[in-house]
Amino acid sequence: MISKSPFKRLWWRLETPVGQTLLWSIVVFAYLFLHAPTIIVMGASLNASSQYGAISFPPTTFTLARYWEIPASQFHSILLSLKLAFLSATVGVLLGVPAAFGLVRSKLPGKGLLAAIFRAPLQIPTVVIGITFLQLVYAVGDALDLDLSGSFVGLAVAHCFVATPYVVGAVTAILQRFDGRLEEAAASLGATPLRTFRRVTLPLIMPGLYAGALYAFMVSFGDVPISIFLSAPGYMTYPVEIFMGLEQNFSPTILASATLVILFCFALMLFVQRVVGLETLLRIGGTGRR
Amino acid sequence: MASVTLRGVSKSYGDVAALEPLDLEIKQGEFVTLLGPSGCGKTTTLRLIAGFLKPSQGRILFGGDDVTELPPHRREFGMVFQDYALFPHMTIGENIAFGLVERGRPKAEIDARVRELLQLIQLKDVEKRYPTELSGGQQQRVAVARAVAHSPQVLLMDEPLGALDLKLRESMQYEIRSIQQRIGITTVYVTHDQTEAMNMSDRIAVMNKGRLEQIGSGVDIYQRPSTRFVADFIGQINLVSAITAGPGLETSSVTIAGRNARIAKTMMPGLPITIGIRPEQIALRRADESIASGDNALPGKVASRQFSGNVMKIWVDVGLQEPIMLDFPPRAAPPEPGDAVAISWPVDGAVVLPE
Repeated sequence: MISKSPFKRLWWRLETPVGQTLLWSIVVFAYLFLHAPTIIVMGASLNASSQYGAISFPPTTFTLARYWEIPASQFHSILLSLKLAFLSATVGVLLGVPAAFGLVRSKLPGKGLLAAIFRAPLQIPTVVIGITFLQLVYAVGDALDLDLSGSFVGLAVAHCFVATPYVVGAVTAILQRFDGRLEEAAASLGATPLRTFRRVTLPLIMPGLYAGALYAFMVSFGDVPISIFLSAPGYMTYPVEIFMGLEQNFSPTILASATLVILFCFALMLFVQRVVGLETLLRIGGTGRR
Repeated sequence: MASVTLRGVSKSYGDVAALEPLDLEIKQGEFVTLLGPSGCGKTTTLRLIAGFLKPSQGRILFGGDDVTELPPHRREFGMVFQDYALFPHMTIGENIAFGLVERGRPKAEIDARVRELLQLIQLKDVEKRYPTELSGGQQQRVAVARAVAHSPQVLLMDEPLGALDLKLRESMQYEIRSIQQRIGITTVYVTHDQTEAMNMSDRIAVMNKGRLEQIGSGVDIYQRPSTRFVADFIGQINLVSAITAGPGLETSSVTIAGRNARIAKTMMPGLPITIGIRPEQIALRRADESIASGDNALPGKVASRQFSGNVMKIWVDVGLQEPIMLDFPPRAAPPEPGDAVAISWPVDGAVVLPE
């Protein structure tokens, strides 16, 4: 195995005790660097001596008390954030997939300009988007004589706006590499265009679709700069809630709820990777066609 | 099974004609190859038959049915693509079953048919594997099985062996041909490889610049090419300019490089023509040896030679623009460059091509 590696000489050196120690220190350091914040949050949430206004790590006395103390408002905001994130991913897929097909497959003149417009939300600073949507919400509210500020609709529209380009991007990338003859092959075997899409095109663009949806989900779920303009008491996303909480009075319950969210996200990632991600990606990657 | 008929089928993009009006009749169970260099219109023709392209003019018939207006999925055919185009997310079994599933056949029938086809292509144990786990040759066979699984009327193949190496290509030629004959399916095959066309086809349609140049059996187009392009494209040939001198009973005399020769065709005198002579038709003698009576002969000098295994290729300068190439049997002692020699060929060993 090792002798086949292009890094044969390097490996030979790394196999010495010194090399091994060095290698492992680098690996451990890299993982620590990436995961230290998560580990500290999770550890501190279990620490009985974590008090208002102070994080204490490593834990000295363990307790689950913080988890029982999480106020209802945090659960509300987590629920709101999850709703928004699922909605953004869903709307992102519903709008982004057809858009990607149009951008790649249509013979429309000015496709380049369209593609740039679809990318625009990624290039505008999110704070600007936040302010823009705040103005929009006021304007629409005035025109329709409704109060939309701090409403779910306002948040949802803004989140979908920033999330959709991620789906467009991911699906466009995979469609550009798509071998059109697979669809011709399906047609030659008697599949209608709809059946061809169902049985051939869709399964093959699934990795792009999932990747895009996952990005959309994460962008929406983690957003502060946009949501902060559109949130109101009672309609506060989880990141905004934490942000506010940290500014006003730091409660260790935030550590506890954050830990729950981290675990949930971790489970979600595992699920996506298990069910759809790796397997599909590997199989399709193997064909390696233009 | 059905015949395939093209009536005045043409395809143009704006002012550019990809295919000039083409009439072609492929008989039931026949294996016809469309042969030509890239850009000759062979792939366009195949894609028109498949329905991936709409003809600018003309009608396409499968059996007696006009399918010109039908989309691909409603024409009954199977297709093998270059690089196979197997569905990467489906197992080999699912790939082969695709056409049957689309036709809503019962599961038991599909399973039986898949097993039967895997037997036919001699790949019994790959049903649960994925295409990327198979070698090129194996994928190729699966592609054939998938294309014929739903028992289509017509099988279309677009350079299916292009991606394989030479040895494998030869054995696959034999294999595809034998599968085709066993199920007796009408087949249109596209290739730019003349050896492949010769090995496999009942008839070959030679195409060039969007036109059909000649259609006939391999023997026909090799021995009796009807155009200069066909003569030049198929195998090797010496093309010699000549002027007709006078008609005889079944032959005419012509002038080649200032000397008299005869051709096996009656023609008016004074016409410029091109004579094609295959290298294997030409015999070589030393200048002082006698020539078989009745054969055409030209004196010349050996210009160069090249050993290529089964024959020695010799180029003889006979005073024409280009030297004449011939195949010299390797058992005899070959002449040296510069030797004075004479070449000869039988009167019916040359073809007359329109200028």
